[in-house]
Amino acid sequence: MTLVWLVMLVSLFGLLCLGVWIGVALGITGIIIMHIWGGGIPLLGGVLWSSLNIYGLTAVPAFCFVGEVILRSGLSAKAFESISPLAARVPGKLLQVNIVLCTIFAAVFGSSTACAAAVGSIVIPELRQRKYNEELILGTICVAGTLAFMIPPSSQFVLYGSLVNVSIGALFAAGVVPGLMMSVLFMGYLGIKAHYNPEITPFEEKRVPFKQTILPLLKLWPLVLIMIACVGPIYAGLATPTESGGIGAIASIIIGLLFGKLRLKSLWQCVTETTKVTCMLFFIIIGAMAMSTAVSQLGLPRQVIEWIGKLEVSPLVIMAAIYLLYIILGCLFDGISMMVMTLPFVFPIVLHLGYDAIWFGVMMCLLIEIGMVTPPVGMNLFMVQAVAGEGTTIGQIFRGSIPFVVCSLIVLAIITIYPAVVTWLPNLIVR
Amino acid sequence: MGNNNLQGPARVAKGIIDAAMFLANLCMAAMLVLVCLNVILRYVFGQPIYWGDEVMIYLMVLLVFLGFGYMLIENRHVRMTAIMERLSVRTQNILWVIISLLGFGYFIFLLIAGLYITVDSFQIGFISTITGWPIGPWQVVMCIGLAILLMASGWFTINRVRIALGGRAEKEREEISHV
Repeated sequence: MTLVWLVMLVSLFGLLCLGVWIGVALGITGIIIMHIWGGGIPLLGGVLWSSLNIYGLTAVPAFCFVGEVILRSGLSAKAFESISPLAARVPGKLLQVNIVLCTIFAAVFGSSTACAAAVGSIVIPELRQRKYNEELILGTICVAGTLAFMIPPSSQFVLYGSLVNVSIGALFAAGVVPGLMMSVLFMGYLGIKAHYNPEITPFEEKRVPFKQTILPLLKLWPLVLIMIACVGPIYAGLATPTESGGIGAIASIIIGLLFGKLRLKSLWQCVTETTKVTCMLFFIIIGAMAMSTAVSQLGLPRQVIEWIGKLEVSPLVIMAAIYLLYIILGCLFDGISMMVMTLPFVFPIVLHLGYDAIWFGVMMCLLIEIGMVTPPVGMNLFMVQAVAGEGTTIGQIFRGSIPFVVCSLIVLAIITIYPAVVTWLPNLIVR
Repeated sequence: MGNNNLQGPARVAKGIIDAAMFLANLCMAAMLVLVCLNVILRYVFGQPIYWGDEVMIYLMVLLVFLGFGYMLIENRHVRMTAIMERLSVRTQNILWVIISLLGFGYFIFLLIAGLYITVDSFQIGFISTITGWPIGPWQVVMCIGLAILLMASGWFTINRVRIALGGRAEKEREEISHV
């Protein structure tokens, strides 16, 4: 059995370090194990067909499509105009808009990079012009964009739910409180920072009467409507996540065409982008399924559980080690790869330790969020750099993100100590 | 593609890969239409298409396999570049040849496995539990997608070998995925 572990780890990490596509590295490792220890081509054939033949996975393209449609609808500019008068009155001023906008967009996007792109493209030029602190502009967009993973509909939750057979509706519900907690914590930090360092915001920000700050908020109704269409039917127990994605798609197309800048011909662009994202995602999933099937056949996850059972340490220590593992992996891999690569081993351990599968799904997404903003491989860092234009460095964005990463770690600690923060809402409305 | 001998076949290969991607896009559009249509039929008229969910899954599987080849030649599949990008261009080019060959080998295995399960499906006569439709024809399209992926991988490998032999620096276009 030691030889299996050796072959698996050397093959997987060797190939990954070499720069082989993650899906291929996972698949080759799976094939090697299958060919040496049994299974071979028939097993791989089964994996090839059955790994994608899962109804829950059809929700992933549906939610990605909703995100693409909103991105091309120009609704982010309208949302910025609605929120900025109110935000100008609180400490942190328009920097707070970044957090609020990302929180709202997180509730309609399934993807964090799309969320960061949609908000960043509007907010970054505007805040630069008003001479806000550059690092904080970039940092807030970068980190708040990751809220899309936590606040439903999240493609990460759909994937996790489909892979480990957990209710996606329950996962969506579970993400709401931690997502909002993070949002509030980010805003709280900005408020305190602005209080003690007023120079991070311009002094001459225009203040309008309170009544005039409330009325523009009504212009947010298209986003609220799409938000309700995307997740409302799931919470109400009326529709599956895929159907909700369909309802969200219909709502976003109608709203985008009638009230946004969406044109019929740009719908095809939305379709092609969705196809590319889906292909990229499922390429990794096939490889991961090949490896996971091979290691499951050999009983490797069971071996890990037995080994951990012999260790005389508390479950909290093991969870801390798992968090550390994910934080390290988050610096090297993108979220999806990290999830599908580790789930076959980590998920049985977590269940064995007595933790809830829904709770762990939220924890994993939170850790993936942190991974999205940690260099060298942080997709949101790249996206914000692309949106911010020439002259913006990854280091600048990361420095701006650090305080918010600390806020995310605080939420991680709170959820670990009080799991009910995650589980009470799904227990209340879904289960 | 600087070599004139390769231009003809390369153009054909590119045409096939692009056509497969176009079909993948059509499958995606059909899938999204089906999702929306079934929602309307279920919640407005109370009569969903009974085969809707199943066809939706198959369309998703097909679009994924048909699109793999295009994504490969566009170099949009995710990989870890942290170590590789610190190496010299020459070493990177050599590594690219190794990566391409490994990919080519992996895709051969996938195609063989795909053919195995397809032949099996036809021989046993596998049918879907919901609609009773045979699964084999869907799997044939999967195999076609895998064959196109293998062809794309071959083309990609030849390109990488040429770059490595010519020592030409290749600026990598890193993917920023919507994941």
